[in-house]
Amino acid sequence: MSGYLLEGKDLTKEFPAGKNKTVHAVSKVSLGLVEGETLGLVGESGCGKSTLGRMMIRALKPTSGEVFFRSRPLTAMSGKEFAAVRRSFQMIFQDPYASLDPRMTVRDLIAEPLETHHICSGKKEITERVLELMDAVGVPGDFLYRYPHQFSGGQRQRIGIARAVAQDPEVIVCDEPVSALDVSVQNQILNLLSDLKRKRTLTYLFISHDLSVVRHISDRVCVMFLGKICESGPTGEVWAAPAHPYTSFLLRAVPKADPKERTDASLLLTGEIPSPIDPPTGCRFHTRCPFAVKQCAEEEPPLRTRGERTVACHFPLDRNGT
Amino acid sequence: MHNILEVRHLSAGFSARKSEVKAVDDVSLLVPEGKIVGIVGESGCGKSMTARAVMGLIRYPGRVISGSVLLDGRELVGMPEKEKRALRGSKMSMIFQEPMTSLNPVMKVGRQVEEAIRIHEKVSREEAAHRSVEILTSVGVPEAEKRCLCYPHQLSGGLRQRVMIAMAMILDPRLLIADEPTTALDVTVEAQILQLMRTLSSGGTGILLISHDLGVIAQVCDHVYVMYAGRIVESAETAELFDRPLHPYTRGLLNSVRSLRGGGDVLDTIPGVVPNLMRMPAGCGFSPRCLECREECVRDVPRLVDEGDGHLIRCFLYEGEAAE
Repeated sequence: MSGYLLEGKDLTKEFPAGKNKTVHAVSKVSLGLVEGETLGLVGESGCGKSTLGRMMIRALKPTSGEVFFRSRPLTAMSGKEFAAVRRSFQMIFQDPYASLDPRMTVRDLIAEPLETHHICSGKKEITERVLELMDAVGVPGDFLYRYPHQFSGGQRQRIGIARAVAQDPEVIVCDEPVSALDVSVQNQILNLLSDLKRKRTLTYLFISHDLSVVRHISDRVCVMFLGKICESGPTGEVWAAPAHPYTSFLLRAVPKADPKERTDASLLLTGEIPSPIDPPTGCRFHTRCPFAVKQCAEEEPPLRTRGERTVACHFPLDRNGT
Repeated sequence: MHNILEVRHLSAGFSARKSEVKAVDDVSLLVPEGKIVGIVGESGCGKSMTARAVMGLIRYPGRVISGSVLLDGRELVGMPEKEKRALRGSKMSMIFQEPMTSLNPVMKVGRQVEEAIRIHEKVSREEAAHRSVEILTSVGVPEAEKRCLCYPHQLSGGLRQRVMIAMAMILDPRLLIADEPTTALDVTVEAQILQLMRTLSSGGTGILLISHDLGVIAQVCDHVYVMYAGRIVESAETAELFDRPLHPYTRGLLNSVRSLRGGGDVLDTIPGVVPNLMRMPAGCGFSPRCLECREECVRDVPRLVDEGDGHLIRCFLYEGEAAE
C-alpha cells in the first residue's frame, strides 16, 4: 500500500514528430496524490504538465508506466472496468469559452454528466439537481435557460466547475483554471475551488504556470522542467527555500507588484527553454543553469528525498540559496 | 521634461444601433521622453482601444469621437492617412500580445525586419540586411544572422517577440506602444523582455505599456494610469500609486494580488464583473461593484481631481475634500 489515492509510476509520454523524431513530453515521472490534498504542478509552457495531468486520469494513454487508483492499476483496466470508476475523475479546463457547447443551455450543460452517469433520472429531478449545483458554484438559478455566450468568463468557468462536480468525483484535474480570467475574478474562482474542496472532500491536481496561484491553493507542489520533475515538497517550504536552481530562478522572475522590489537583471535566467524533441543530456536544465559543471551534462541527477522534499540536482541549493 | 505623447480628452467608440458606445471616455495622458508609462486595467476597460486610437488604427465601425493626440507637438487626429502612415513605424510603433499573429508566417524574419526599413527609407538591400542583423543582436537575439533566415514558426515565443520589438525599434521611433507584450510569454522570458523595455526607454524612447498585470507595471513603469470602464480613475507616479492607492477599484486590484509568501485562507476579491459597454451605469462606472458606493455615485460621474503632487483621482470620496 502506497497511501496514495492516485499514483503515477514512471510515466512516459512520447509523441511522434515526423522524420523519425520524437517529442519527449514526459519522461519517467512518478507522482502521488494523497486523498484530500491539492497538489500543484508548475512549470513553463511545453514542460509536460498538462500531458502528465491527463495521463493521471487516463484521459491520455502513457507510452509506458502505470497509474494506480486506490492501488488498482488504472492503466491496465479494460474499457468496461474503467467505465465503472471513470466518474471518480473530472477535469476543469483553461478556456471557459472553448469548453462549453455554445448551442446548449446551462441546464442541459450541467444535466449532461448527470444523465451520462445515470445519477438521476426524470426531467424534474434533474432540473432540481442542476439548480442545486448552480447554487453551489454561485450562478443564479434564473439563468437556467441561458446560453454560454450570455455569461462572462468567470461565470462560464463556474458552469464548467458545476459540470465537473455534478457526478461527485474524487479527483479533479484543474488545468490552468484561472489563467484566462481577469485578476479580480481569478480570486473568486480560487475561493470557490477551495470552498468546494472542503465541502465535498475532493482531491485536486492543480496545473498552473502562475506561481502565486499555486502558492495559495496547493498543499504540496511539483516543479517540472522539460518533461521531468525537478523538485517537490510542501509549497510554503519550497517557495521559501527552493532547492533546485530552476525553482529559484522561476520564483525570482515573477514580476512582483511592488515597485520597491524590482527584479535585479543579473539574477535572471538567460536563454530559452530547450526543445523536448532533442532534450539536453544529463540534467535537462544544465544548458541554462549558471552553476552547471561537467557532471551535470553527463549524468542525470537522481530524485533525492530529504524529509518531505525531493530534488533532482547534483548540487542542490541550501537554505541560503548557495 | 519634453512630452513625446500628449493625449487630451480623447473619446473613442462605436456606433451601435442608433446609440453610441464609448469605449474610451475623456482620456488624457502624457508620455515623457525616456519614460515608461503604464495603463493598467481589466479586459474591456478601454486600454487597448486607447492605444489603437493613438496609432490611428481603429477600424470601422469604431472611430475617434473627439479629443486630440499630439506626437511631438503634431496633431494626429484628423491627419490625412498618408501622412499618418509615414509616421507609423518611423516615429511611433506598436507591439502586440501575440507575436505569431503579427508576423508574416511565409516570410523569413530577416526580410520582415528589412521591410520595415525599406518602406520608410531609400536604402540598398545589403544595407537593410546589415542593419536588421544589428538591431536583432541589440534586442538580444542570439546568432542573429542565422535567425534572419528562419520563418516565424521556427522561433520560440520569446524570440518572436524580440523580432517584433526589433521591427518596431529599427527606425528609432520616439514612441513605442506595447500592448500586453509579455502576456503570452513564460515568466523567465517575460522578465527578459521587461528588462529590454527598460533598456529601450533609457535610450530616450517614450514607452506606453499596456497591461492587466500589476506586477509588470510595478516592475518597469515610472508613471501609471488606472483605467476602468473607459475612464481613467486614478493616475500617479508608480511608487506613490502602490504606496497610497486611493480609488476603491485600485485598492481592490492591489488587494487581489496574491503574494508568493502566501497569506490568509480566503483571497480578497472585487465582487461582480466588469460592466458591459452597452449597459454602462449612469454615474461612476465602478459604482455597481463598489463597497463604498453612495447615492451621488449612481447619479453623476465624478471629476478627475488632483489630490496633491499630481496624484489624480476620479471618485466622490475625494472630490469633496479637494473642494474644501
